[in-house]
Amino acid sequence: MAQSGLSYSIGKRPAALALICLLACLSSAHAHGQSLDYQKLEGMFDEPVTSSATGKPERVSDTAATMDIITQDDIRRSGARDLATLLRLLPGIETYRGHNGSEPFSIGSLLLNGREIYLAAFGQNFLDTIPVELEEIRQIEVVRGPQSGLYGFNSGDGVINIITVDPARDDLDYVRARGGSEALRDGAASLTVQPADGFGVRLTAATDHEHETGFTAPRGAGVQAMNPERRIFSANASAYLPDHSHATLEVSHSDVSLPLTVPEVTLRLNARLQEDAVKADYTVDTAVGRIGALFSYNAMMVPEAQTAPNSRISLNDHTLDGRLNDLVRLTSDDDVRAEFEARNEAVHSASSPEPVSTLMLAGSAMWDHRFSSSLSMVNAVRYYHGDIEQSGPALVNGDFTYHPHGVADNSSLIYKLDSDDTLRGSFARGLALPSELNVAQLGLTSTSIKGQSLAAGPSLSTWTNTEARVTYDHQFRDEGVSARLSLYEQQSDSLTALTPLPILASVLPTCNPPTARTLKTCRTLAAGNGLSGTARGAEIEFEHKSTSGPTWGLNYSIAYLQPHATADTLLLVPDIGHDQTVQKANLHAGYGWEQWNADVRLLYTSPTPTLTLDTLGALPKVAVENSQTIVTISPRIGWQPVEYLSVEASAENLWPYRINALEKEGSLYYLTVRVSY
Amino acid sequence: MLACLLGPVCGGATTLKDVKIGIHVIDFVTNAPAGRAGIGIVYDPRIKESAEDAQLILDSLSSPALHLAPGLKPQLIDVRDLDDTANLRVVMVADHMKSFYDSLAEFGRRTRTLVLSSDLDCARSGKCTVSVASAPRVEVIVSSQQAQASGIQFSEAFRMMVTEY
Repeated sequence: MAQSGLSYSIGKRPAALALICLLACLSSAHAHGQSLDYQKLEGMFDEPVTSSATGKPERVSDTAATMDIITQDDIRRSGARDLATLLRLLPGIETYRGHNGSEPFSIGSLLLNGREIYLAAFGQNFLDTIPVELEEIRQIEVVRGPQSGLYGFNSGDGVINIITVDPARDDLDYVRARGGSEALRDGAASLTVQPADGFGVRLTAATDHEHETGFTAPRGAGVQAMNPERRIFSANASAYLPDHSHATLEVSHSDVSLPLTVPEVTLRLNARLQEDAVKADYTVDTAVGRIGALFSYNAMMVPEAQTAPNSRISLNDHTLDGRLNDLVRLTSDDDVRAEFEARNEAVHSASSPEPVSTLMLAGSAMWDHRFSSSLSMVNAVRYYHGDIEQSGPALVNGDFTYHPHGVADNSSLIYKLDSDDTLRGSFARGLALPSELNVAQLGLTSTSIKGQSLAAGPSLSTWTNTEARVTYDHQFRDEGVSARLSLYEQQSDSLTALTPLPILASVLPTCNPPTARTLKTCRTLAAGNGLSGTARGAEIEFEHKSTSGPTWGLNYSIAYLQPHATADTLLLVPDIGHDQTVQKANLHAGYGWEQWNADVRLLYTSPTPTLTLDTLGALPKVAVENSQTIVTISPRIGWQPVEYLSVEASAENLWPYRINALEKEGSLYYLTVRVSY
Repeated sequence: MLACLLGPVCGGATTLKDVKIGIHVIDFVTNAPAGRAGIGIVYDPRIKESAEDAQLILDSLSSPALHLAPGLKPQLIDVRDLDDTANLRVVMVADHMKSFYDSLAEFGRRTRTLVLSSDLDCARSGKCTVSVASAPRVEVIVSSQQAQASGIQFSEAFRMMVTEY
């Protein structure tokens, strides 16, 4: 299981994230190439195609990297309403449970058609803000293991790339309405216009609402109730031009309200997140190869987040990213790809005197060599250099500068023993940077009283994750069953854990305000940089897919976690050194007949270590604690009497369970009606 | 053509999906001559298996389920009448045509026409521009030599995903 980790992530669930990561992860964010004509290529090769594994287009069966594909058919039969539920279906991926879609996940970076969805301030993704409806997704590509050599800054632990259908190729027009218990009601609609051959525009709007029901303890005075709400709008344009180049333009807006808890802490957080994004992508074949350019701008705003009376935060995160790459077939056996990326981010916090600015420059190269029809190798290396700065007269500790730099690499090999058996091996070293919250003074970890900041500053270093993995795939063609066994070992070092928000200030007297004597201790508590650990694990999958008749799947993952702490973090997590085995299993059984199909899914997760801040005792205590065993069962039945109409009855979590001291996950029943036109 | 895809020689059943592989290849030619709309199914009427295979290909191409581009028009062509035919965008070689590979290769180079076969050895030997196979796994082989001599260019994405000889 959880080979992956949330790296240094934090945010609304500070500790919990660092945790899944820290321990579970002892196992990160860019992918590319959305300018593929997926429809035509898949039609020819009769299997999913991807460019997420190496940056070059490949058949999934040809990728040297170990990856999983969640197709639209998988999504349709999953009964899932959100991305978190889908990701949980895969072995080895943990998503922290919370309200619909608010979960972080235990694998590196998340991209939407190559654009990174990332809140640099917290070093975290927020699944709810992603401006995509499940109906729009062609496939979700999940690449396992460190991918920094290929994708860069945040993919030290893997890549999830969400690929949507192409409006120039796929005429997606639908209206969806859903209603259920807990006042669940959501709706979505897409309209695709194709005014000319090879050109299309898709417009999508969606709104979700659900009553907040998961909290079992009274909220603090002054914190108003907040229901989960989500509204998104997106426009996607795609054009295949006469010169055989391809251009896309994506514009989106999302507005999300999330009631959250910090696990195991008597702390609730009501947050509202707004995101505006623009992405333009252009790819053209030239005499010097396939040249691609991608530009994106992302503005993530947290206009309000309230934890307790007078504990409000707000921040704005603006990211500009530009990439230029060239993919060349040098010989019939050699493909090379070079990329340059420049990324600028600026984070403004209402409680910070000055913004934090980041400029990252990176250059990477990939070489794919075919030794024979059955043996190929991919090598990739990436160098990055960054400037993270915060300067101004109001900074309590003076100007802040941090210049991270490093080299990440990936090497992988694929050997096709025969048409049914494939062996993959990989060795990779991934890197991830501390978030702005970690390295500078955003005010979220400081009391701001007497001018003392708890920000950790330049003492933090780049998190590294080294992995060796072997994967064996076998096709039982006569039975239509695919099987996989994957073994891995990961070593994570310099993992950063952070307790954001004014938690410490409110619960630790010595930090309110910190004195000269206690400042170091409080900073260490606010951000630790010495967590490390080893994970050894195995993932097993069996799957039989069919749209009619029986369909089933089973996957199981087990990981043996050995966390370590250095002297710097002993104050943060004094009892971190416990070895532990974590397991996860998914079982799916379904059947399709005539106009009907039905599925039931069973998910088991063993107790999973979570980094917690326990404030319920006399003295606040940071510790690693286990979540409880979780077993969920989720059935669905679908009916499609005519091609343009489908009706689906579903249930989630028939066995309710408690998430933490404050929150539980209850059952949910709902009916979905979808009309295509 | 497409004997292994379509014909009984390889023991596989003919399916529309098999024929699609060959048709999709045409989509990735980036410098197709303007005005050419013909798909020539070249066969030898003196060989029964070749004629049967050609008819199967024609039937499949004519099926509405294949969604063949409206401008493309398949037609059966006796290999001996090939030089009398104009306006061909692609030549699909039927089964049992090995003895004509040299003349087909020469026709492709002279008329800048894509020559497509289900015999993988045809592209491997540089006679056909592209060979395809659907079982047990989809294989697409491109003869770089024949493509270059015929002035045919494929998209880079396509080239990355096929085997070139």
